[in-house]
Amino acid sequence: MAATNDPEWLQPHGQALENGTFTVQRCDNCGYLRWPPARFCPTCLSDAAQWVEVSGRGRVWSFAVSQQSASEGDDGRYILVAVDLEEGPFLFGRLTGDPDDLKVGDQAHAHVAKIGDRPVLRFTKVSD
Amino acid sequence: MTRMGRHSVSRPKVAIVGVGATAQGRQPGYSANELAVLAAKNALADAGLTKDDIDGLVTGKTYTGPAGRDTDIGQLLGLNARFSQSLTYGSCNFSLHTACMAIEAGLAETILLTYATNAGTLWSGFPIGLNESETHSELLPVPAWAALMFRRHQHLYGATEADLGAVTVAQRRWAALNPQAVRRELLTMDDYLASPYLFEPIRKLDICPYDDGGVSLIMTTADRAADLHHPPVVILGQSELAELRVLQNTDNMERAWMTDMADASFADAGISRSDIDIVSIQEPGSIWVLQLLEALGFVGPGEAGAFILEGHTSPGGQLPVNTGGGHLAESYMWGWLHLVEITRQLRGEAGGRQVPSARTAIHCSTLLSTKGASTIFGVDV
Repeated sequence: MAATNDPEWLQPHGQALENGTFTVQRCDNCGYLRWPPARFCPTCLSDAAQWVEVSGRGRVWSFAVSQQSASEGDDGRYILVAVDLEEGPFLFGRLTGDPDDLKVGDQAHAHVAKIGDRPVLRFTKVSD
Repeated sequence: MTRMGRHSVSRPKVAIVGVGATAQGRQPGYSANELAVLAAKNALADAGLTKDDIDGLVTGKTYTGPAGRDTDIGQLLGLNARFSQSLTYGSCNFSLHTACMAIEAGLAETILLTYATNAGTLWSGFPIGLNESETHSELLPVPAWAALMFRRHQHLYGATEADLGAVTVAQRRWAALNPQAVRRELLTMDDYLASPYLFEPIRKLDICPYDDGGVSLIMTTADRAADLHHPPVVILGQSELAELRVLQNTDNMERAWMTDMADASFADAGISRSDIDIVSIQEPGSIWVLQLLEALGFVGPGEAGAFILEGHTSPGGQLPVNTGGGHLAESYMWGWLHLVEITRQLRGEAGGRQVPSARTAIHCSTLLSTKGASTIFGVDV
């Protein structure tokens, strides 16, 4: 997700990922936590925001199991998850684990993994 | 002739007076814009009009390159029009509503709408691969979106894979009665359940393959339509709703907000759900039908699966759905063939799949979980 050609306002996100931290923007004006990253707050249109670390904890809203690999670092099937983070943002990602052991509503936790030198976000299931 | 819409503004009645399509499936050797012109010729012939009668053009861009611009198709058609417009997301309802607005505003009287694609030839297979950045974006391909939607539906309501399979099985039954359909072979539930997953819990049979083809409509005022030879298929009501914050809206992919969108079109038409003879749903995949039959309010939450399994949406059923076969079985034309099918049904021209005495229909379309639109049609209403 980090890219050297990111615009300046987006660069802290990539730098945090490099350091193993997943951050989202919190609006300075209205406090809304926004995802995906954007120049303006979609609630109040302010461009003032801070990058804040989120817990990474959330609930699996839904998931699906791809039947074919798609990119480098895949070993075949992968699990696509849609997660409601505790702090509010809803995001898609990949979950590492056994799909037969996963249910909608399970707790999941996001952490930063590496493919080669590149940091990527990965979810794992958290046992209740 | 005018009608009073929900805002009590007097608007001229608008009707579909001509429909045309090219052969569907694979049309090698034709560009998308050329297919759009072939479809337009057929629609003009169906309406009994020539291009000299046309003073408006509406086209829809495709995902396959730069095709679909009104400026290019208009040149191929040799058309000088008062009004000319192309939509970036030019699927069925959105293009139709644009034409209605132009006619209601007096920008044009008789509009030719045309859409074509050669995605079938250009894009074989299903685009389901996701690289890392795509995984985190909202640009998931349709099978991934469909799989997440269906798994959630299973969780909420206990929907089974057979409930979902019933959609494709039913639409193949309609397509078997439609000479224009590309996928006419009947499908059994056993065949469906034995077929492989594409993106578990979604099977390949749940997702519409790409097709080639063109589709065209001619629309004009009901006054003008009265002079033409087909019974006009009148636009009774329209509505749209754009949830452009998408996933920032709670449970956006469940699309319960489509209920409000449907309510608005019924309010505009001044009729109710029980007055509807035919339901039409633009479906990139089978889950759209399962989910939207509920969200549109034709059955209760979680009831669509059993309703479809019991045959109520199939030929002879109490609520026929996607009577031409839909994208799943007829052809993937971004909902435009759904509009042709409604027109043929309401004119009584649907042959072996004719719904007896059909006089009203609703067509609903969506762009994933971002935009929704619906139109209610009637003849002699």
